[in-house]
Amino acid sequence: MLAALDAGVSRLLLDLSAVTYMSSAGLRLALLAAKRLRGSGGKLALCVPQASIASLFEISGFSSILSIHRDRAGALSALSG
Amino acid sequence: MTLPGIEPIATFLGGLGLFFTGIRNLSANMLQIGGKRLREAATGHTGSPVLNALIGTLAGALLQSSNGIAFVLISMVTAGLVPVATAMSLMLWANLGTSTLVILASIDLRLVALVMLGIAGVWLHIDRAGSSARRRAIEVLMSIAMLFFGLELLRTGTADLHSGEAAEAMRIAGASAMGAFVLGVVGTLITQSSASTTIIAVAASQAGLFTFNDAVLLVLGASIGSGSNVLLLGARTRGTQKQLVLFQALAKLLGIALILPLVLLELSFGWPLLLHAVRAMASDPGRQLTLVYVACQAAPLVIVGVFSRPIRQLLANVAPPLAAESLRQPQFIYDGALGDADIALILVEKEQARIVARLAGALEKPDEAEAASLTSLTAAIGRFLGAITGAGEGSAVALPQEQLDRIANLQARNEVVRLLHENVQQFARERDALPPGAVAKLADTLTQGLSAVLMCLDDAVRDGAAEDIALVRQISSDRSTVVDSLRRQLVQAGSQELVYSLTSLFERAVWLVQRYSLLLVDGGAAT
Repeated sequence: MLAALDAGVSRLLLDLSAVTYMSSAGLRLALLAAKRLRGSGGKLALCVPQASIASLFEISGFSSILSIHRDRAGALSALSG
Repeated sequence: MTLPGIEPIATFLGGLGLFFTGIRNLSANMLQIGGKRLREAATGHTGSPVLNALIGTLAGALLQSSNGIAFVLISMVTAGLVPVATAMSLMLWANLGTSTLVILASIDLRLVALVMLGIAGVWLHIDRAGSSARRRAIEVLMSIAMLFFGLELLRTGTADLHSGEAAEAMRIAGASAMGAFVLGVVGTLITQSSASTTIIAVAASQAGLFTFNDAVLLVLGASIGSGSNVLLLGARTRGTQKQLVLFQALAKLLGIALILPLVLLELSFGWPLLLHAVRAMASDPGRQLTLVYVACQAAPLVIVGVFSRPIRQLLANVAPPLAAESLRQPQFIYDGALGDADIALILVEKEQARIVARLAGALEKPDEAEAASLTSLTAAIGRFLGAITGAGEGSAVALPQEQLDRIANLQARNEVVRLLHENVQQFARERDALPPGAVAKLADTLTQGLSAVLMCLDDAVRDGAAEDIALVRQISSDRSTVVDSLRRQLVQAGSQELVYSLTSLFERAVWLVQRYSLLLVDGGAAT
């Protein structure tokens, strides 16, 4: 993901469909990507179908600053908007 | 009715009182006026030797407290505003700068002092509603006038005492070379200023109370006293701070190490060395003594200039930097920094930032020893903040409202971070005691979420960026709805008490993070 950001990607979809566990380091990484993209005028959207992972974003408060969606279609739509 | 012999003693005491009040007020007012400018000047330049010489000498001449300046610079190095080498160079030149007052004091300024006293006194009486900056400038003038008028009274008193019993006692104290030297050391330990001791010695010498040779040894003793003062004031410093304290003491010692052998050789064998040179340069014994004082301040510049590298290596070996020191010990705050409230508050912010940086680690792995250390550290910060306020109240110059507001803000932050750390520890202890199962899984989710919030708080405190502070505020806003939802799901599965306790501790921790972030917005983040 960081390599993509370094390469100048301006719209990034982070698909967490296969992720079953996430730590605070993962949350921070998502936040870092969002901050970098916001700074360069880009966008980040997350696809988070797993309830446990979605709950972690809710609990941490990160859901209030990240664009989180239950499926890829919703995330892609947010990126193209 | 006047008791016989009391008048010269009263004149001497009155002069002494005026002199010390003048020098204390001068230093306090000038540190208030010039401390910020000294910091800006010291921070703004690139470490050029010529600028170091100019800024250091000017600071010494204006602030008239070489040890006071040393502690301002130590604070600046601690806060990362000035490199160690620059601070050392500025200290040496500031020591030389303090000679200005000694030179002025050797000149008869009685009429000037009286005129200044009159103008400043009348001005302060009339201009009661004047701006604080103008009043402070007039107070500086008043302090200088008091200092010089006190000095004139001292001269008159000592001249009248010349044949009295008190003078006999002083002659006995200064009768031997060692006696005069010790008198200089002890006098400076009491007056906290080698310049003050020298000025009094100059007055006493001009009045014939000391022989010239004894007065020279008294001035040399005063430098040792000044070095001892800085060691006493900096006794509790460590690491780089200790290096700078030792450097200032060493500078005083090196001056004497060079000058004293020359004086002793000259006194013992009559070789024409330093005393011969100062006699050739000035006829008045007071001015000759002044030149000896200047030589003591200038000598370390030569020695440190030649042996700069081995001296710094020695200091680094004696007082290595603090990287591995316990969290219990304050790394930034120290008593010597209390004289400059602005910089003392920056040091408090840095100390609090250390605690914030440990919060995520404490959540991951609670440690009783570290918890005790952090409790001790927050208590030390609280005492230090109280001492800044106390120093302001005890000073001739009151702290401005802006600084009082910052102190209140930092006191509030201190209390919030203490509660937050306790809360995090309690949460981690309860989580670690859970058996595997649904509640343990909830606890892990809460842990990861809270850890991310604490790391964001650390970023905001460390960098102070407005964007990071706003982000922390947003992610720490009320989330009772989501926590309630989790709580309901798990309470149905049992373990009601454990679930309530964990979720309540989590909610409280997030609320405390928000309290802290609001204080950062109000009071600025650690710089």
